[in-house]
Amino acid sequence: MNLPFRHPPFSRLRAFALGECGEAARRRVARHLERCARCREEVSRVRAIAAAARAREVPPAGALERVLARRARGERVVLPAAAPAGAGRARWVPRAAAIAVVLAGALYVLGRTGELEAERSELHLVPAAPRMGEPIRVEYRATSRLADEPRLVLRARFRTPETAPQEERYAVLGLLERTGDGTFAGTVRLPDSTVYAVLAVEDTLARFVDHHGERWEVLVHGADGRPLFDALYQRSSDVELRDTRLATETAEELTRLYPGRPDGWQRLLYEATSRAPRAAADSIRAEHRARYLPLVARSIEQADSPDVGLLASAVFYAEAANDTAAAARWKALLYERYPRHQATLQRRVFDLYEEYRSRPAELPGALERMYQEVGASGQLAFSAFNLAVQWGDGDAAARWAPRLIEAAPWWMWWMKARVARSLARFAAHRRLAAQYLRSEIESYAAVLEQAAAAVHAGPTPNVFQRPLTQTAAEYSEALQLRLGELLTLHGTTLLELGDTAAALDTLSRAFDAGWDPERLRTIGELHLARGDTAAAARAFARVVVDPTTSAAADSLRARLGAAGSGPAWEALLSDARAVMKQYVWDGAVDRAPLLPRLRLKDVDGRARVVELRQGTPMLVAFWSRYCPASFAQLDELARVASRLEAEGVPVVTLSTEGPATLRQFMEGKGYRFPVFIDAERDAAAAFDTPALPTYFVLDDAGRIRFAHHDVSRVIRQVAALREAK
Amino acid sequence: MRHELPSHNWVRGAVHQADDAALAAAARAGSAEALAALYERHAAAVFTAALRLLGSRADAEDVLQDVFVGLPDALARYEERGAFGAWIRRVAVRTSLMALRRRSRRAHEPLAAAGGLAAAPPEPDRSVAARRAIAALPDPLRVVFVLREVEGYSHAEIAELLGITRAASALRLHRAWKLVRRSV
Repeated sequence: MNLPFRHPPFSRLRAFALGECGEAARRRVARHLERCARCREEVSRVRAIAAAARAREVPPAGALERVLARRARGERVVLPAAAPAGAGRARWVPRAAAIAVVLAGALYVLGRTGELEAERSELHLVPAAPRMGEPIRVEYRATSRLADEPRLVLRARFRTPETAPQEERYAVLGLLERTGDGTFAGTVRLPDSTVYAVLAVEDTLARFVDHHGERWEVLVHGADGRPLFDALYQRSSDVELRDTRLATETAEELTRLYPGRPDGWQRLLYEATSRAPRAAADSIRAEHRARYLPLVARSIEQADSPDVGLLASAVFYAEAANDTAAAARWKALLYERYPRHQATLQRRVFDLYEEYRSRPAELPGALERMYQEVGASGQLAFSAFNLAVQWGDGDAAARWAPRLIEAAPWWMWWMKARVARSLARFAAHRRLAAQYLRSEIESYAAVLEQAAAAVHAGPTPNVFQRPLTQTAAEYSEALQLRLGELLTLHGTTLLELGDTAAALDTLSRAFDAGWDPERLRTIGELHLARGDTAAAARAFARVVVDPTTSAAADSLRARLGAAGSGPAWEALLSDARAVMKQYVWDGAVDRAPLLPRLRLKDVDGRARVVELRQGTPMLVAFWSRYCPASFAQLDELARVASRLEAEGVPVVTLSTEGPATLRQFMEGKGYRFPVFIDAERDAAAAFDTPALPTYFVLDDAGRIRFAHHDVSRVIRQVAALREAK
Repeated sequence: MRHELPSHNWVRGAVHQADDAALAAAARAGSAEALAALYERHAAAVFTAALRLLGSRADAEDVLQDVFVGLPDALARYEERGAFGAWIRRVAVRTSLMALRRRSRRAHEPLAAAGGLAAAPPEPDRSVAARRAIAALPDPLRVVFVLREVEGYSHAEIAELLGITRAASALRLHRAWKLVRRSV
């Protein structure tokens, strides 16, 4: 790497990594690390090695018995005097304890207003392994973006033992007061019954969030010093979407510490098989059946009165491991002991599906009879509603809709809109759909209003809470976007109901809710269907000027007739361009990547150097097929990349995999966009981002002008850059 | 490092409420229960120190057993001014160093050749690779590395303990890091 500076000697990097540097040296090294990927890697390696060396080992089983036996035989050992105490010893010991839970270290934070900064922000907790309800002292060393604030807000996403897999709850834990130069501290408590929490620090207006890649976490421990079962279980579930490997490792730890708990084994089996090839998954199941299922069986047999959670998850686990006999035995026990419990009702719905497999037409009747017998259960209503929609039975769908909405827990905030969307397909039930949509729109509008008024005031209504990693501005944008979708759907539904005045009112609100050419096209179509050509032309003009949808220009203009040409049309186009430009440049930044060129490897393992200053706009995209959000955008990334290349815009994409599997994946999917491997971590140093996917659009001079997570914006941004030239 | 789980003190059986000083007094007087309670609390620290210093689980268990078999008698020398946990770790360090000297006199146990490390396939998990690399260091380098980076001794203390100069201690530390970094 041709960098115009010298690397610090290893001894200094080591001292820095282990917190033994003086303040002046620490600053010098920190400044160097901002620019040097190699030394950052070295620091991270030193920390990893020290943490591994300091990790406690478990003494061999039976050693205590052997000690006591030797003592009982009268054996004597003369020990040497204790080695001298060291002055420096206490220095890292509390620190090391904290590091176990809170991973400190250099991390690149993608600034929420677009700053990329190499910052050493650290969060330390004392005690590192808190008991439930115990106060926790939090010390924070701020990133430069937060260092000058008088006080900061500590927020948490947290889980309790009852937290369902998709459920997310958020809370402000407290304020951190400034204690010195860029350092903050406070004492907080986790909300009642919390077993697992992920922490983030932000300013009091939530303009900048330091979430550290969601790696600051707290696992609540029991009186015996072990992390609670629920702490590990909830952590495994929480990290699953962002880090599958950590989810698996946590499940392994869970079964090691709590071998009698079927829910732990079920979690591990799920993690191990869900991404494994079929043959491997089968052998994993066989191993669970032979080795681990008996542990669960023993714990159930030993329990005087096995609780409902134990039994229900044991049935799931036995089924997942293909042990039908054990599954049937435990299911019978579950039904007998807990006949009306939700877990039993859920299984009974599955039983009905099995029972009526050969005569499906009778299944809806059976589900209805079960409802008359037991009332609304979430599983029952969900299954029955979906079945009705799938089979086109509008009356049944309308009957089950209110039951489903009633049975859905609050955190299924999307349920009402989803039910409405399905119901809107049935002409006879659009009125009900519109009613659900209206109440949903009202709650969104209320949340938006509240979000604008005060970011931290009071508990957020449970409809839709601000994610830990979002700033207040991003949260508002996400709400706007969703509100826009709902308004469009509501408007369409009202129009189909013949309620023209209400439909127009709704659609005019949707029109202003954000730039989305597909939605604009729908709105134009609706106006056209109503015969309002002028309004349709206003919407279509926006579709036509957008480079992602401009191909439809001719057909849209033809449908507008006279309104699609002439000076009035030209005026609409120029107006639309101005509005689009404003939307596009609203999200612009201007900063240089931290390296002028990237040394990468291609899928054939050949070294390649990519200059970031190309004299033309350029796209740099980070993706991973293991990140669901990223995977979902790959097809569109392929389309965007091929279009950009046809226009002479260079595209560089970076994946997290090795060359062989990557090439296989690309060939299998038929993707042709250029993909590279960041073997030297140059790209990570220049662009590193806490979330995938991330897209960087660079200008002619190689400066980053747009950075975001939505591939559909790229074409517009490249066009805007070219136009600005 | 990111995937490391928090360390947990897995105390088997009942939770002992008595403090270390009371347990130590009872163990000195011959109580097997008190000795067992002290074991539950401190065995992991003793075993870890011994394992890191010796690089062998079998040798580390020998040290672990010896420390606790000899503990009731050694407690006569324990001054209650300092923390018991810190004291027993220092005893464990001394006992491990003695075991190491015995082992090198026996000399039938071939020391892991440092050169062999580079040839080993890279370990996917950093922390496992790191622990293996430390265990495979030549004894003189590993002892200095562990005393400095795990037990937190200064170079002056290490020099005194091992009968070498401070410069030699610093040089060994540097060489140890070089070898460990190469394989992580």
